[in-house]
Order: sequence, then C-alpha cells, then structure tokens
Amino acid sequence: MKHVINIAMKSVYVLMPVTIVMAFLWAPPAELLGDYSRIIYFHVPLAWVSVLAFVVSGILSVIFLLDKKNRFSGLDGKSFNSAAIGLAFTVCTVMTGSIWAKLSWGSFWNWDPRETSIVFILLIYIAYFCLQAALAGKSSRGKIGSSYLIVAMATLPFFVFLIPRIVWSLHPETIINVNRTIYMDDQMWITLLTALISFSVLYVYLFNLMNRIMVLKHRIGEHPHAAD
Amino acid sequence: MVRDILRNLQKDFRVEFRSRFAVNIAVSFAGIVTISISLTAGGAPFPVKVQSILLWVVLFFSAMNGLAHIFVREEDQGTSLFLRITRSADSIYISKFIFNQIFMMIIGTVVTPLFVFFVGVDVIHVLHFIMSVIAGGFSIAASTTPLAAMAAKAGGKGSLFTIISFPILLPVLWISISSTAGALNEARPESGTVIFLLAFSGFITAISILLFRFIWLEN
Amino acid sequence: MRLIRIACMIAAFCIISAAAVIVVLPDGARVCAGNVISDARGNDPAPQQTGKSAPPEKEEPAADTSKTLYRVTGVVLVIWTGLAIFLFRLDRKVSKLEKEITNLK
Repeated sequence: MKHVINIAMKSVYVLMPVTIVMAFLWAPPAELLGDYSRIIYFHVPLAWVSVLAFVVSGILSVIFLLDKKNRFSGLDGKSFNSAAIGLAFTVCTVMTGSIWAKLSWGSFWNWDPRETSIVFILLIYIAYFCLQAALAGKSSRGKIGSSYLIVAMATLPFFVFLIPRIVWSLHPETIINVNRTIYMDDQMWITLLTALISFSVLYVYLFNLMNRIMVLKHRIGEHPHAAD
Repeated sequence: MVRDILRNLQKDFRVEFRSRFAVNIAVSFAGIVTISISLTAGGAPFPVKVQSILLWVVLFFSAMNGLAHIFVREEDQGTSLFLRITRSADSIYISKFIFNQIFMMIIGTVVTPLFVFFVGVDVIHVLHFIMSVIAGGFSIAASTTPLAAMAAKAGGKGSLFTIISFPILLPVLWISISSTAGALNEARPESGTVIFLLAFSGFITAISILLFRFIWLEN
Repeated sequence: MRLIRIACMIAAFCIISAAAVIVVLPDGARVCAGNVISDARGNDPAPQQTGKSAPPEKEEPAADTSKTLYRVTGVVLVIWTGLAIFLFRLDRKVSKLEKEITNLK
C-alpha cells in the first residue's frame, strides 16, 4: 500500500510536464481572451490546492486536539507543514489572479468574492505563522496553534457565505461559467482536470516530503521545528 | 461554579478599578483618534459609509488596545498559575468573557456619543444604530477572548494580539460597518445584519468554550 | 530553510510563466499599459484612437503566436525541470537518511 502511494506521488514528475504542454500547446485559446486564458490552467489548480491545504491543516488540528491517547504522532507538525505549503500556494494564487484580472478587467485588484476569500485565507495563514513564531520553543505551541486554526476555520463559512450578499461580483461570469457550463469545450475541460490532478499530486508529494524531513529531525534529536 | 465565576469577576473588577490601566488606554486612544479626525476634517461632511468605517476603526483599535489586558496581566503578575490550579477552566473562561463584554460595552458607551458629537453624525434610525453598535461590540469581545488567551500565552508583546484577531474579526467588522451605515441612511435598515452578528458571536463563543482548556492548561 | 526554498521555487515557477505569457504575446505590452481587452460584462471597449493603438512595427502576424507559445512552453518546462531535479535529489537524500536510521536501530 505504501509502495503504491509512493509510486502515485512520484507520478508528479510525469504529470506536471504533461500539464504544462497541454496547457500551452494543446488546449485551444478561449473566445474573449485568446491565449491569455491559458493562465486559468495554473490559477484554478493553485487556488484549489490552497483551500485543500487549509482544510487538511484544520482537520489535522482537530484530530490532534482530540487525540488523547496519542495514537498519531506529530500531528501538530504536520498541520504546520500543510499550512506552510498552503501559504506558498495562496501567495501564488493571489499573484496569478491579479495578473489575470489586469489582463481581462483592467485593474490588478477588485474586491469580488473569490478574491476576498482568498485574501482572507492568506491573512489567516500569516496570523497563524506569526503566532507559531511567537510561541517558538514553548511546549504548548502545538495546542495553541491548533486552537487558532480551528477558530479560523470556524469563521470561514461565515465569511464565505456572507460576501455574496454584500458585494456584486466580477468573478462568476468568468470562473464559474468556465468551470461548470458549456462555455468550455472538451479540450479545455480535460486540460483543466489534468492540471487540477497534477497540482494536487504535487501538494501531496511536497507534504509527504516535509513530514518525512520533520520526522527525521525529531529522530536525530534536533529541536522539533524551529520556525524556519 | 456560578460562585467561582462571580468571585473571579469581583476580583478582576477590583484589580481593574484600582489601577484603571486598560480602560484608560482604550478610552484615551478612542478620544484621541476621534478628536483628530474631527479637527482635521474641519467640518467637512463625510459620506455615510466613511463615517461608519471610521467609527468601527476607532472601536476596533480601542478594543485591540484594551481587550488583551485581562489575560496579559495574569501572566505578567504571575497569578495565572494560581488560577490554573484553583479554578476550573470553564469558570475562568466565563468570567473573563463577561469581563471583556462589560469592558467593550464601556468602550462603546464612551466612544459612540463622543464620535457622534465630534464628527457630526446624523443618526436617522437610532434604535438600529444602537443595536448594531452593541451587537458588533458583543461579537468583538466574544471573538477576542480566546485570542487574548492565546496571545498572552505567547508572550503578549507587541501587536501579536492585533495580528491574530484581525482575520477573525474581518467578517464582524464588515457586517458591523454595513449595519451602522444602514442606520445612517434614509432607507429602512435590514435587521439581518444584527442577527448575523449575534449568531456569529454565539458560534464563536461555543467553540472557544470547547477549545479554552487546550489553550489554558498545559500538561 | 527547505520550506523557504520550496516556496520560492513554486512562486518563481508561477510568476515567470505568467510574465512570459504577457511579455511575449503581442498584445501583452499594450494591455499592461492600461488598455483592456474587454470590460467586466464581456463587451469590447470602444475602438481606440488610431494614435493610441499598437504602433504598426510592433504588430506580429497571427502565425507568430504559435511560435511564442512554443517559447513560453519551453521556458516553463525548464523551470519545472529545475524544481523537479531539486525535489528528486531531496527525496533521495531523505530516503537514504531514513534507511541509515532504521539500520542503526
């Protein structure tokens, strides 16, 4: 089983180049934007992985706090690693998103729902890492960090569902339509799916690598994970 | 347990009343900002949205200055270990929660009339205005109590408390601003915003009661 | 430190590929200077004054677009290869260390 997962993770070395070639060469250009639309094959998977990393981080925090018998080890460190990857991907999402916004709507930043929720996630990550840095060296670091992540996760649905009530949106016309309706033809759809899968596999691979490095550090006896 | 809570509250109030440290800072900050806004505006009228934004900025930063005090003082004066041993985590949480709420109400009661007076706000729907300030203050105090405990454990230095509470308070601020702006407009304001704020604070309080023992107790 | 390196690589990967698309495609420079392709509702903006549109010597025929796409793909693949080599070597080092530790035990 472990072997299968290992091979599946290594498949990212094949999947990513395939995705890149498909995104730039195989998929046809879209109607309005032309070749600029190809940024969607990077922007959407990045956004998806940031949310995925956040959710994984939150779930691991919950299990960590509930796990009194200590059946799983190092969960607070794993939640930290997932948050770290999530932060990197969130920053990239914001950057690619604003480049795309400049190309199609003329300004780098408009506060529409998708953008606002991704900024919200970014702020939570930044606050989380500030908290972890301030707690460096204390034994309660894992617990307090996990509690913060849980409170932040609890706030997320309120935030995500309240925005559409208040703000008129620029986003759904391009992203939601492109994702779910017939505005995309088959080749674009397949490319997007491949991109999603390969970025997810990249996330799992990075997460696994970081966890293994963390376990090694523990075993060798160094300080668990000083805020890098 | 109710007796414990009341005793904690009494102790907190007495200590606070002796030095009046946190209240002074929070209220002076609010006063300074309001007066400088009014002075530099020179009588020029602000649009309604801007007035509401300024009010909530003042309230938010006054809260940031004052609300962490209750836990940071415990850590600083070394009484937190004593509290941890003698009282249950739940009773401590509830007493700090009530203290923070009352503190926020005090800030709101002082700041809002000051603001209305100096900036020349024309309050059309008075009841809705008062309700939204109260509900917003309630949410701010409810959300920041567990965060104050976390920041106090982390040393409480600098603006750590402000940094970690800003994302959590973002929906609260947003809705409160639009709620008070609604009270200042001609049209009938919707009560959905106040209900949202109360629902949000209830939810966060429930979660924080569950999480507080992980923050407070070290094993 | 590793975390920072990984984050920098991913960020570089995305930024450079996006920047490559913008700079290399013919409309890219003009758009970044402020002329939009279409506004939010999908209507094309009113036709520009002739003086402001891309000067004739910068316009490239449509057939060139595929050439630029090949170049961009090449650039992005090179960046990915760098990241992949880094990850691969890291993986091998970690596996070697793990084997050593289990052997020591």
